[in-house]
Amino acid sequence: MTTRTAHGTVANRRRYDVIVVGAGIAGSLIAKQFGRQGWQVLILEAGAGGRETWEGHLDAVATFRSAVAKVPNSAFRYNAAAVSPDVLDLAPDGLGFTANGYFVQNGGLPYGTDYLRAVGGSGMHWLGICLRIHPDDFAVKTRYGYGRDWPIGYHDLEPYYTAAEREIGVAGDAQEQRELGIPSDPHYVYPMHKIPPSYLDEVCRRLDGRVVHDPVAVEDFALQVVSVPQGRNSTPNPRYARGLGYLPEGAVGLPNYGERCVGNASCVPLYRSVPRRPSGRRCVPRRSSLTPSRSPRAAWSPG
Amino acid sequence: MSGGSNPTDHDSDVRTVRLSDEGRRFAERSAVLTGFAPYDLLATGMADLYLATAREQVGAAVLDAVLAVVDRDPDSLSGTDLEVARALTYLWYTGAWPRLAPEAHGLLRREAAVEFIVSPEAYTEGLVWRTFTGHPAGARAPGFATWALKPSPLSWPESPVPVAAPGPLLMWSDFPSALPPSVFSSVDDSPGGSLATGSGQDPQNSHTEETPT
Repeated sequence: MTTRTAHGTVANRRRYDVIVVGAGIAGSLIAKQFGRQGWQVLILEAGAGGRETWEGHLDAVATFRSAVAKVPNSAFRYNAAAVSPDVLDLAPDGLGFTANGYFVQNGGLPYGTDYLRAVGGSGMHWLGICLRIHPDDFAVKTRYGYGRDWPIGYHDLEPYYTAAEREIGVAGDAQEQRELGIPSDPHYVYPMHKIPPSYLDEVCRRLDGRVVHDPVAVEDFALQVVSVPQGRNSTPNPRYARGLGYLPEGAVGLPNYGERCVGNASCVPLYRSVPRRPSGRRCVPRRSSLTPSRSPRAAWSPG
Repeated sequence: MSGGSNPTDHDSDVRTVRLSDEGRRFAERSAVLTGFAPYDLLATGMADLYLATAREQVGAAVLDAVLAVVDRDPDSLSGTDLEVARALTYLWYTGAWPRLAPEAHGLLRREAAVEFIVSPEAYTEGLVWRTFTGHPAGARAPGFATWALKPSPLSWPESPVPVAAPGPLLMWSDFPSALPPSVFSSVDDSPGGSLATGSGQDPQNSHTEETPT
């Protein structure tokens, strides 16, 4: 499967089996799936690429470091041909916020963060939260008597969750999820071990068991502090895929010492199609469409 | 840097470029502002760039005058001089030259500038990271899982330099407008700013006619 980048006139000279609009994480994975089957795929993307090269990566790093306010899009140069919504567009107006950037927003509840129009899309600075929807949420009418039931149920989606978790390299604790009522094969483990909770996470664990009142549901609930499966850089779980293990694209390091991909903790690990055990591993990041920037990303919410 | 570096000719082919004298002098005088030793300040590799930046922003005469007061009696800094001294401190700590209080821009006869990062390296060399054993995002990741450890006790600054209680360097209204006040709830946003009024009483302000390009 080969990937090439071309501008309109060049791309227009060929015929394609499939055209995918948008080279974000969803479009990229869909294109990968088609390409694997030998189809000719064209991906159309308005935003710029370039960060898949070492020079492009260094430029993104310098751009980020030079930004006075570090926000999710700080690593990416302004592109007048494909402007991105920017949290710094938001301005308080007394009642709420207004924004006059790519998004024109008025009112009290604006979209309060960035998204990125570029090759890789917002996957370039995605926080990577990868929750499966709880089975109850597919059937709220049946279970709770409000809203509507989905036409499909959790078990219809489960194989796709599993596939997505493989592609994204999700780190998590499957047993903890099962205890929350998210079913999976009792032997299922996530591709990566769950990310070790931070010192502050453990401080917040004191909230475990505290009873709070929900004014909307008019009910009391006991809080339960659990970890969240995340598509972030962690340590591959050798028990994944019934012992086949997991090897992210661009993995470096010794197998017994993590064998994590080369990026920061906030990098999204991508699945390399054929897991293999180490043999003279290269210490340079391999080309991929979604990992190269490794730009730090920030949870950014203006309130 | 003009006249600063002293290349020494050992022979016609070999040159040794040393730290510039004025960069070293600048670092020595910045020690009292930052609480960091001149050695640590020079180790950032930023002294010459920061000196050049400050000169460009406030003018060589004002900068020299402020640094002379810093040398002699830092507690006596006031008015625009104090604002410049704060800007220098901010620069060492964050790698960014801040937007000065509007009054300072007026007295310095300079257009109000926006805050800017002096160079990509300046951001990573900011002293602020060392004050809380932190890591600049996008420059150096902490070791995997070390975030689970209790942070080590702070060792910096080892002997903070006592200064008269300063007002805020920037007022709330100077922060990016998207950030809600709650983010900075600990920041004193009382009106009046950080500049002393009646700056005419301060002899150091006689330098404000300097308007370098």
